[in-house]
Amino acid sequence: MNIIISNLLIFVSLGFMIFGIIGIFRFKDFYARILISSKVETVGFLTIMVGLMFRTGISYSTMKIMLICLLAIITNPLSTHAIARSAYLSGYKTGKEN
Amino acid sequence: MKKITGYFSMIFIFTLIWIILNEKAGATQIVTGLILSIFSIFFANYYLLEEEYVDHYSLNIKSVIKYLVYLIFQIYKSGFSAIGKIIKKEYDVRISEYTSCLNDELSICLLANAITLTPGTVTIDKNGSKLKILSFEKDNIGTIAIDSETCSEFEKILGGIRE
Repeated sequence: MNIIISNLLIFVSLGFMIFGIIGIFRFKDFYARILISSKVETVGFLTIMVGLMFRTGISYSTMKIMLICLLAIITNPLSTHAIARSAYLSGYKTGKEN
Repeated sequence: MKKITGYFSMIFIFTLIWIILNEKAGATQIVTGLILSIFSIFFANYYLLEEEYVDHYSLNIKSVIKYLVYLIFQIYKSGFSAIGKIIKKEYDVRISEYTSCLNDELSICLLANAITLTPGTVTIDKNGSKLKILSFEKDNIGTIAIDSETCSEFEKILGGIRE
């Protein structure tokens, strides 16, 4: 049963990632691309990790995955923030302002 | 007394992380975990921080759990709304300023972190309690209502995060 739930969650996470990548290609504005790329790295990543937790069951590996998730939640936004901030400070305008 | 309890809970959490990383809860792991936890906290106190470690990072566990649960709920909610935007190709963005009702630096940083984690919103600048937020046009940010005058649910949770 756990394997089925795990496979389902991993499948859903791949769906999230695919939509994120489609969004990056579909959107022409730099800022919109930044906004949608955070979808791949948070929703997709967290779902795939929960899927892996179901696969490993109650064990040290599950707790390690939880630690990784916690670290990802803390550190993931930094890269997105740094790229968006540098673009903003460099005077890069949104699609509407251009 | 409160400080000592804070230090004990920090040492307990760090030892627990050490045990998880070692994948074994034997006497050796517990003792090395305790020694390394005490060493790392005192190292941070003497060389990295101006104030004491517990004053900086003592958090209310209940509020942290509430924060994480609410954050994950918002991440998924915004994730689904972002799929709609991708399908409809709605990609007009705006940069708006939001003044948070929080005063504590750590809480404001956690709020900014939560905003960036939520798909469809990114914090691009922080000046005191003022945040510059990049979001989709006509979109109420998942974590906070950007045009609202009142404190958001997120800010209410973060308001009680300090012990």
